[in-house]
Amino acid sequence: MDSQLCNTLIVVLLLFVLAEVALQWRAEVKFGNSIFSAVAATDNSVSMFEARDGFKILSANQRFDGSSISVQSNRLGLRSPELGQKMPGSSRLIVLGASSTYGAYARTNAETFPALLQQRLNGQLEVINAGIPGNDLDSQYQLYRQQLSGLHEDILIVYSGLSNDIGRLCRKQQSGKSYALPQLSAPKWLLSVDLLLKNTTDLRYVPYKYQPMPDLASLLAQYQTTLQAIIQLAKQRGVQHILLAENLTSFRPEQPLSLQQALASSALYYTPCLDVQQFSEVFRQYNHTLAQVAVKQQGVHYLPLSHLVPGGRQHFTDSVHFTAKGEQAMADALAEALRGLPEMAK
Amino acid sequence: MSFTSLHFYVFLLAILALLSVIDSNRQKKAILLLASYWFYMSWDWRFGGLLLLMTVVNFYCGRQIRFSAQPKLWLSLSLVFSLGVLGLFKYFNFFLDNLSSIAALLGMASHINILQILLPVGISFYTFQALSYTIDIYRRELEPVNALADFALFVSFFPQLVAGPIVRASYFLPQLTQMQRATAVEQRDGVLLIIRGLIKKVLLADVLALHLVDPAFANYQQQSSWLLILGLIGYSFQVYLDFSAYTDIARGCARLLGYQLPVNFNRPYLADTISNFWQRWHISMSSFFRDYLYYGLGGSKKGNVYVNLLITFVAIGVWHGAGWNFVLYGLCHGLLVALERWLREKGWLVQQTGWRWALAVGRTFMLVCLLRVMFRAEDLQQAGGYLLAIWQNTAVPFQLTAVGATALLLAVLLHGIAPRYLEQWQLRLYNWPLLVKAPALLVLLYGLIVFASAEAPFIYFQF
Repeated sequence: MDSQLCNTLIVVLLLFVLAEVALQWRAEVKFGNSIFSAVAATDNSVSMFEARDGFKILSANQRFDGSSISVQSNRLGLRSPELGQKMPGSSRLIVLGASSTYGAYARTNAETFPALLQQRLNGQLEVINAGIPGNDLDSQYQLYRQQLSGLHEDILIVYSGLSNDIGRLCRKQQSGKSYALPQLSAPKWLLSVDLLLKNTTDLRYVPYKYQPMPDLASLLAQYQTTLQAIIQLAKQRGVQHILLAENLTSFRPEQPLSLQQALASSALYYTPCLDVQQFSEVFRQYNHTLAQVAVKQQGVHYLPLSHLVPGGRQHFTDSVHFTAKGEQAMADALAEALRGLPEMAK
Repeated sequence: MSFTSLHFYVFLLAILALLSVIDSNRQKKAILLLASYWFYMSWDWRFGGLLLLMTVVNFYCGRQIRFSAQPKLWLSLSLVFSLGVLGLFKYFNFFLDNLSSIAALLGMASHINILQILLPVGISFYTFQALSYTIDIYRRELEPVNALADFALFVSFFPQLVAGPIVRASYFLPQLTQMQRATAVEQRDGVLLIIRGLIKKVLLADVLALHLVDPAFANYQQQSSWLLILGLIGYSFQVYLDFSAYTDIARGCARLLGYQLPVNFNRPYLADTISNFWQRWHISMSSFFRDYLYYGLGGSKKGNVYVNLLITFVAIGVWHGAGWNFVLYGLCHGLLVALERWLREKGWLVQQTGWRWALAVGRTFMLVCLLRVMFRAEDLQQAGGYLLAIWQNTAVPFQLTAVGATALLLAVLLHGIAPRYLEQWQLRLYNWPLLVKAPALLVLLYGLIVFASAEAPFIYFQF
């Protein structure tokens, strides 16, 4: 091949690799997690997440130190303090959820809303953060069933997050059998591609484009069934109170449309088949399902939170994840709700 | 395996690496033949059998046309088989659907079931290539090849297999006789053509589709008249950029492999008449219809030239797809070309210069855009509804994203640049210092990643 051409291609490839390495290094420094730690997988440097049977979890008993975020996992693989035997007379609370519960942008374990909630309640309750990024409600059920048995919790809060459930809406369904030969594609861990796509949704967003509202019926039915399974399991375990928390977004219908679009940017990256209003409508329908399930079950309460945790950039870093102020507002809102429970009032 | 996918470029680099260590023409052709079948079967491996069958039948017919005592019979067999296969896959359901409608009109109960037939990608292109071979042999313009593998490579050559250009056997087969290696200049030109094609497709055609054309056509009832008008103009540029991008990448890949493919476009929207438009648009297809159908019908020398023109243009319309919108698209173009011919004969249509030429270009472009509505719409009802909405939706507020407007502007500018200037600029960029050129290419790569969408296949794949 022509040497000039060959050199150019090699330098472009090198630059691409260099940019990727820089981004991976940044991820390692800031979050303590990157492809390097995933590949190395030694005792001191392991990948942050492990896939189990139908759910994701943190590597157990590990500390991931980054300049922005520090994560300490317990023996159960949760971003939560180590658990001992439950003492007689004490109470336990599990917050089941995804990345918002986990505290995707919380600097330390102590700054996540479940930890702040424990502080708010002056140690009356031991709060377990069972939020893991990427787990949809089915995965949260599996985590609860397989990983969190025998904890003798008294209260269960489900803040399912929804992003991972709604992400399915825009995935293309394979119609019939495929006869195509296998294709190579870019690896999913490429941060340069991921960052580029996440930060350029505005360039691909067309507000006047008509997109039919996807049919939610089957997904809502599945969501309802899984919720009922979680409730049934919790009741079997003797949980006294089950709280289904309203899922929140930073963009709200009362905001100007342009602000909603800006705030919805990261959500629309995962759900390109929806526009902002449709995304809000999908959230409304899912939250309605939560409320309906709570109404029909004894000992199950629906917690409306949107009036207690306002939308916008002060409380959210992106479409669904909380800022430090947002974590505090969530903790305040949940503490308020818990104080209303008969046992807590005593 | 799309030309815009990572998979394709890994595939191409693997073939180039393999070919670089091979000295024998026979081995090179064998590798390219296997690669071409792999490429085609990547969509659906079952279609490999169809391609092989089309190849074997036409190869055999070609030999029989030349060496048997009944060349007409063997040509007929080649035509019936090739067009029959094309008809079955592409037009059978259209035929059944219309038969059913006629039966219903006559008050007869219809028990016709539409068959679930999948359209093999690129079937119209390789069918025509195979036919050019047998017809040229019949006309004594070409000698049949001895090796089936050579003919198979001609039919299946992967750069142009699924969306052209339609290459004549007489153009491509002679290139297979000797070992062809791309020179440094050819390699440079090949890479530049591929980059140009990717920019046209991903950064312009797909962006126009996303921001302008798709919103206009998906919801024309609710869109403003201006957006609908720009939607038509945008679609004309989208289809040009999309299709010429494919041709650029095909020609670029072929050049890297040491072969030449013909030019397929010559700034079609600078045509000053509709007949001139067809001399500049999809040149390999329009010249195929001219040489094999129009001249076959008698052209301007035998029969009625106007009828011959109408038949040719209806066939061009139908070649694009099975639907009355495509029939009407071809018919309208045929009527306009026939009208221009009549006016020219009367001396009322002459070659213009200066501002009169600009007016003629504008008029032709508007006609082409207007007729494109039938090409883009799913059926005649949607086409009519779209045109009616342009008239009715004057009160609807106009909105267009900055990205969409920029893409349209760049599309117009890119189309207007004379090829020689474009090539000069490309060369200037190519000769930039490495440390400037490489980061610029990286930025381009990032731009392609931002706008590359798996949901935007090349438009002409469906034909």
